Amino acid sequence: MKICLVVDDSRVVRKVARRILEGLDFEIAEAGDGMEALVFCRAAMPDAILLDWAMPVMDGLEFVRRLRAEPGGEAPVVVFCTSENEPERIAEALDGGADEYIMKPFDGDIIEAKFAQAGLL
Amino acid sequence: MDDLVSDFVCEAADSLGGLQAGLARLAVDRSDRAAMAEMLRRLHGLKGVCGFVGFARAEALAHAGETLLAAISQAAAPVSAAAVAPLAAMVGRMADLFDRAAEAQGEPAGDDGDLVALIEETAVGLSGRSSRPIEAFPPAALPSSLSAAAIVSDRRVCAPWSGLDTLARALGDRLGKRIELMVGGDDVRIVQAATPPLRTALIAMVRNACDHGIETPSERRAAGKPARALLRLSVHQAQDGATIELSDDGRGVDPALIREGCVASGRLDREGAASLSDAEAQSLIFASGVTTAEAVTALSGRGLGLELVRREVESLGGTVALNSVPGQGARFVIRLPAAVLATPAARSRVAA
Repeated sequence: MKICLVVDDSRVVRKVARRILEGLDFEIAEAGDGMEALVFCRAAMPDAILLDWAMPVMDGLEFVRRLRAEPGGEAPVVVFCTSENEPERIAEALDGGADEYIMKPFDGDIIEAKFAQAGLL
Repeated sequence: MDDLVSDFVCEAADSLGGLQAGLARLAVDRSDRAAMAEMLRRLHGLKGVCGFVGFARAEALAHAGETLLAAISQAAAPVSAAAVAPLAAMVGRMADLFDRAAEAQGEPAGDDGDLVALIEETAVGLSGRSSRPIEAFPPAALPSSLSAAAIVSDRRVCAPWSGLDTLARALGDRLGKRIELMVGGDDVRIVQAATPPLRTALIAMVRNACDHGIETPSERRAAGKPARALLRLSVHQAQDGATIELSDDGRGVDPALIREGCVASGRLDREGAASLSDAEAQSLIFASGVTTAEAVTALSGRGLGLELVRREVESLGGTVALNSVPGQGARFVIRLPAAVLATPAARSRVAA
């Protein structure tokens, strides 16, 4: 079973993502900010990461930059999800090491399409 | 709809609490940029979650509020009270909306067109694209008592740990310390009856950590630590109960100071104090009457708060313990029996 780490400071968003991804046969782990996510990844690198942008302690952009510098940190497919839709921000996320980018609020169809595109399904 | 709505209402109440705290800071100083940044973060986060639960009214209000807040924070000079007032009205409207959402199990119907227009016009006025001065806009209807306060204090529907992040940040502000509290771990539900005692215990623990555990930013820098202190509350569920840990990276609990305190207060004689192991001495901070000598300022006041923690936790059939390496921080571990759990252990967890 593939593992997806859901990183968002909102428990509600994490729960929505968990329901969708469990329906796609992922095993889910959760983190409330980038620092927690980094600690998780050092212990067990997941297959996929659904990543929020604006979070306290460590935001999504800093997380993905630091993840990619970790041993094995190249492996997970990172899907950024935020409510920012300016092209500059999307470019910043992709330059930072994200593989895909989706808008909030996402739903099952959007996640499924992006995850399939990224070769995760 | 389902329990997602009640989760959302709890989370939104936290956000509104943070916004209210920000408004209170702006009432004192309308150029408080840190308060504006924190409010923007809260509002942006709240807006993002609204879309997932179909709260279109709250989303539109938050979006307008974000625009106004951005205009306020970008204004060259501190803005008038009238420019901030629509934000208070927005918080009041949202509080009312979330109040009724718990009952309606969804967003109640209603029209916020006037308020959204007022907020947006105020923002446009600040951006200098309007010829009308801000003061010309009608003052917003300020709710006399914001019902968000009622939601924030009504924790019956919320987790015992909800709102502790706001509390820690507010205490930090008051004490001149930079403190962040993160909640992590499993999605644990606690039964109604156990929530008030547990919440009382957690609040006392957070207060204790902020007051006594966390050093001032300059002390922290001198000790080679980041100026911003991090409290981590982590909640885990197992077959036989729940574990709640609160760890900080503060000064920790020095067993030598506890021994001195016990001797100074006459609780123990010198030999008795010397015979205690470090762990035994540290565990004495949960004992009643262990208030340390005035000279031991680092620990003053610890006794009472932590005695309360132990009493509340034991009333639930649980235990509380302390692990601390002096200088490096403290970790309080509460263990609670399965009787406090509202849901059986059934979570997919990933083994590290």
